[in-house]
Amino acid sequence: MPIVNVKLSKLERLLGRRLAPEEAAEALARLGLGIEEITADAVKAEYNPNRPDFSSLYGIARALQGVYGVKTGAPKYRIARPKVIVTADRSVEGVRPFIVCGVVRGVSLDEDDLEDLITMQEDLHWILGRGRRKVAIGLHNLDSVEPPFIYKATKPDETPFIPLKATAPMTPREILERHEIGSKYAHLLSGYGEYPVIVDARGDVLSMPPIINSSRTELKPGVRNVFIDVTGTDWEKVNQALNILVAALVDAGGRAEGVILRYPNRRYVTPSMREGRIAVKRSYVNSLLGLSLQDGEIARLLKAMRLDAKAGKGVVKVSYPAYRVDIMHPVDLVEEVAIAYGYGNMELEPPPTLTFGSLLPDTYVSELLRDAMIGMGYTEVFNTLLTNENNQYAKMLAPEEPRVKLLNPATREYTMIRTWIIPDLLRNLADNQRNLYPQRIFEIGDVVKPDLTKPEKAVRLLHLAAASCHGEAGFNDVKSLAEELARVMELEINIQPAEHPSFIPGRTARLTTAGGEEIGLMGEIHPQVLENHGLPMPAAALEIKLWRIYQLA
Amino acid sequence: METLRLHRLEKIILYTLKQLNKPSTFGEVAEKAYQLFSGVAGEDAEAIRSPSAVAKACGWLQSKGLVSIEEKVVSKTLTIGAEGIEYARNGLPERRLVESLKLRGGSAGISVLSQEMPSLAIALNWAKRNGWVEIGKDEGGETVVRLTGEIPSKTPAEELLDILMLDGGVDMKDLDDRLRKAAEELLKRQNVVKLAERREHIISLTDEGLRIASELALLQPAEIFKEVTKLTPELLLTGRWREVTLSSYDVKAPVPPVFSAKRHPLTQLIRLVKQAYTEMGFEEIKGPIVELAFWNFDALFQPQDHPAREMQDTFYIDTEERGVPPRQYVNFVKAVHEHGGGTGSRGWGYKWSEEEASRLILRTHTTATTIRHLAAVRKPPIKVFSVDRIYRNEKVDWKHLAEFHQIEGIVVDERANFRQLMGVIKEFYSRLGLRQVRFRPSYFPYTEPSAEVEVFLAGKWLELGGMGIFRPETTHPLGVKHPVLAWGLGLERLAMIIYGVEDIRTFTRNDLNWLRRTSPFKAYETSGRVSRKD
Repeated sequence: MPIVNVKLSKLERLLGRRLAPEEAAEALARLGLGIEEITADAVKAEYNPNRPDFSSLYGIARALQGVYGVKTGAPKYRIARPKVIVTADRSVEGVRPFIVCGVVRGVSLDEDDLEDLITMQEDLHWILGRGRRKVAIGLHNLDSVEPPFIYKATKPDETPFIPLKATAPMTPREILERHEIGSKYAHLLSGYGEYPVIVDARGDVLSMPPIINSSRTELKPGVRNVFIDVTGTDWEKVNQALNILVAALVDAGGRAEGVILRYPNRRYVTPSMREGRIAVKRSYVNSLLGLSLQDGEIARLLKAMRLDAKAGKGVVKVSYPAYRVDIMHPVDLVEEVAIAYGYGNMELEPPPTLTFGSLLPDTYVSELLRDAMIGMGYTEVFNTLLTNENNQYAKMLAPEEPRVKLLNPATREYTMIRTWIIPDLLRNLADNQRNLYPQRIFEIGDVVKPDLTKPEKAVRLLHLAAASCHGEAGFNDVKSLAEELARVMELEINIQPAEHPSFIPGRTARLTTAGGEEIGLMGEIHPQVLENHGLPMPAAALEIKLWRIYQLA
Repeated sequence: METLRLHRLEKIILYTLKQLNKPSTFGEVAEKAYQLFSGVAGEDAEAIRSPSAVAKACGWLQSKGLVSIEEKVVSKTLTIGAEGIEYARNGLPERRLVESLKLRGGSAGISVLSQEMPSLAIALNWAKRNGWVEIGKDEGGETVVRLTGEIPSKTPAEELLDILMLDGGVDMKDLDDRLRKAAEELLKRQNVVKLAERREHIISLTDEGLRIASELALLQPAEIFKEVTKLTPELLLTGRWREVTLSSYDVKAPVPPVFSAKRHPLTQLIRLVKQAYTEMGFEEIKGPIVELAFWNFDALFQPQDHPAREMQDTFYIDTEERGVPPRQYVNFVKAVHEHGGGTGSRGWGYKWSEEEASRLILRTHTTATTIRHLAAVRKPPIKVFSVDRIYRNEKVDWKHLAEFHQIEGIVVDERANFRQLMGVIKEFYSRLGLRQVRFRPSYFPYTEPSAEVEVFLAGKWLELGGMGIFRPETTHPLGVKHPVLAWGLGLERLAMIIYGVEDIRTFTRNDLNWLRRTSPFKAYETSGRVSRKD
């Protein structure tokens, strides 16, 4: 989750009141931020990705102004008449079709502010931009270039410029191949014959979205006028990003100014900063929260959350600022009311309707057999279903079975879901050689097998497996066990000689029901298998398919 | 009477020593005891005759101050070692050096010799000590070794080696002074000769021992033997148990450990959690682990480009097969994602792909199971739970697992509300002994309002799970008309607190030492279901 570093001195200036670090942290937590670290002059907080406006201190300050009653209702952003024109050329349509821009004049940004601005930009790239694919932001020193600007696509070997973090001009192709940042984001332009650039009236490049800006327009301390370009593939999201950035820069002391965007068939002025409108019924708020608030109270709470709210008859009409991209449905206002009311201020109560509890047959079967196994001196182990082919088959000398394989495992340890449990028990025994013998262990748990008749193409099957390991361990250990389990389950079983490469020939058996259905396998583990596990101690094991015996969920 | 505290064998030994009336060896005691008691000991007679049994009992008696045991070296036998055999065959290193020097006219350079003799250092050391060689420099400045003085044709050491080769071993007592000195010299060299000492233990009664033995001496052997260690079926069947005395044990003596077989601590806790849920009137449900992206994400209003759906977070199944999303819901879910589908929501505003929803994954939360159940049942009241496995494609370390458990639950009720959601969670945790809880706003794509729960433990607030009321975008496509309170809480983090475990991998490591030592009472005491008297 993204993190915002809230510097208390700046926050205090914006709130007009003193704020101890712990007090600030508590207030942030009540707004839904997770506190990562509290120091003497700052609070590091995690914010949820539905609130990209919290990517800057200014977004945080706006919310806290409402909490402390310094300012309530929606903040208003005036956009001055546009002067700068940006033309979107038809050539970008197939590559990166959308651009929106804004100008903020009269800012005064020191090194610290610029650093925060870059962090904010990167967070927005991730939250709204999904790694710059949907949205990429460029911030420029407006005074270093000459409007009007053109957003167009260029050939890979044309339009060279000096990108950030370079000293000599490079062509777009060179940037994607050789530049540190260029090569990191090159995948976003792979497959395209032309690359987008923003060029000024003199032909100087501002930016090559979504890759990198020109070093010419780099923001340095003391910059007064900022030009913002936001390009991307999602019209709504590029506008959201622009609105969030402009709001933050205006709150930092700037004056927003519109930019005229000329598309081939349409013309826009951005940033719009247009407020959204939505209404919520009083009854909806009260029934979801279990409160009995009046219209006026709801409106007051929403204002404290920096929304404009007007109480009507049983309905509260709300205007919300353009940076509140999380509001999709009236239910989102219900949460605003709840947060303003304070989760901690609500009286807790149990659900009113009487119901009766119950457990699944799976649980009962597992529990009863657990009792039986423990009664026979077997200790329960617990393994993950995730495993790998080496453990399941190779070390067991067993043939591979149809199984659920993972496409993208993060480690080689986990490449599949187990199809039998005995290999896990042998691994457990191998890991326990330093502990006292005899060792008798069992596990009751699932295996998963492909099943094309199911919508999800796989099925969970409940198994019981046990292993006995000590100097005298042998076939009789598991045969006694199988017979006792059969008595416990009141099940008539047949024990048939069988062959299985994991077990010693002639000391392997299959368990079948009276009806001839195969329900399990047992035997003395083959010495080669023991050796494969590095286990110099005889062992016998058994596995029973409980799903073939009991009707389970 | 004091004698009662003695083991039968101890009494037999005291009795025998008194009869022997002199300090004696284990063997002598054993032999005499056999003579005295074999008549009355029956099957146990052989045990009395064993010197090692006697030695053990003498040890007990010694620690009780009733006998003293003196250890004496009875004989020392010299035998030949592996090196010794080699030397006896090929000559001692110093002898070989001398022979070599003789062949070279009485002197040779170190460099030549060291090539010839691997054990030159040893040879030089002993030859110098014997005064057979001296070391100097030649004109060229190289170190040379020269023969000097008288060299006997056979030293006492060499004689001794010959004897040992022939006889195998000799008693040190049988050697004359000259050979004994040679033996001592050879003992300083490694593996040439070995000295085996035979020791004997002489037992004598202490004053206290004598006092008790004198009391015992008044009894007949049969009376002493009346005491038995083991109550046997035979004693019971014959009624002979009436005639014998059962010996007393040292109840403080250590015994071998036994371990009760146990449940795994995690399933123990799962049982407790299930119990808490059923007490609260919840029904258990279960669902697939291999899941459709549709149920895991789409039905829960997670947009298809949501970061949680990416490969580095979610395990995708490697298969040609596609899952089959439920026909009756696909279009509703699609509409909700694209434009809100008549719920009053804006939707996510993108083109929803059924192909993407058909992908198969390992479920990342049990909410996938909940939403399936919700779609099947729809009508309130519903109160269901599950405690089951979920998956995240993460590197495993001390605080992260790729496979772990979620404690899931929902309440669907016409009158369900957010205060009840927090109320039910508070009730649940209090049933596990965690009475201090608080709630903070949070975010999940499928709930609104959303919260996370923290419990206060050991001076800290710990985040244990998330919850919320399902968004209309989630419930509407399934035809659910009433509020759904939902939550997903961590099991392993709770288990770590209850069992005092720092490394989350402990639970699947299955160290038997830990499993055997973890008390099943732990979870029940932490939860306050069982408590001790002060």
